Amino acid sequence: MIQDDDRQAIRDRFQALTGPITLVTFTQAVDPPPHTQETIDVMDELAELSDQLSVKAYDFQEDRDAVEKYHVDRIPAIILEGAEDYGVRYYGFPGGYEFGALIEDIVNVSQGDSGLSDQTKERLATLSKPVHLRVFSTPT
Amino acid sequence: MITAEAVEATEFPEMSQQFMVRSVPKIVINDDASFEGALPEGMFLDQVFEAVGG
Repeated sequence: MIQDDDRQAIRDRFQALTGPITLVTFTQAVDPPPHTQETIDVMDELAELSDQLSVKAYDFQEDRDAVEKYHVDRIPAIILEGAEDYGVRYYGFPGGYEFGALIEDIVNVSQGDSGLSDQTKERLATLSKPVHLRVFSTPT
Repeated sequence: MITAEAVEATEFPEMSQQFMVRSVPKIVINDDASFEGALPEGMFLDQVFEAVGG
C-alpha cells in the first residue's frame, strides 16, 4: 500500500530509530469495521522498513486481556509502544496527513523523547492533573 | 500524565458528532475544552493549561 518513493523516504527517516518499538494493533476478524485490513497491511509494511519495528496484532473481540491492558475502546486502533507505553494511540486508518504524523510519532517513541522544546517540557512538568488529548482529523 | 489519540473523524462519526467536530484538526482536551486548527507549540500548551486550570 505504501508507494516505492515513500518507502525509501520512510526507510531513511527510520535510520533515526534508536530503540525497539512495537505497533500494537487491534482489529477484529468477525464483522470488521471499514479500513481495518488496510490499517493492518500498512503496519506490516512499515515494520518491514526497520529492524527496530515490529507488529503485535490483537483481536478486539478475542483478546480481552490486551484490550483492558491498553484501554482500547474502538477499532481499528494502533498503539505505539516503545520502552514503555507513552499513551500514544491512533484510531482509524492513518492516511493522508496523519501518515506523516504517525511516522514522526514512531521516531519520537523509539527515541523515548517527545521532541518538544525544553521550555515546553518544563511547563508540562508543572501540570496538576492528567491530560487526555483527542485530535480529530480527516484523511484529506 | 499525558495521553493522546488521533481519531480519523469519518471512521468514527458518532464520536465526531459527540465532540461536535465541524472542521479539522479539532483538539479536545479532557473531553471538555477544545479548539480548532493547528497551533504553534506554545499556544497549544496555553490551551492545555487553560483547560486544566493551571
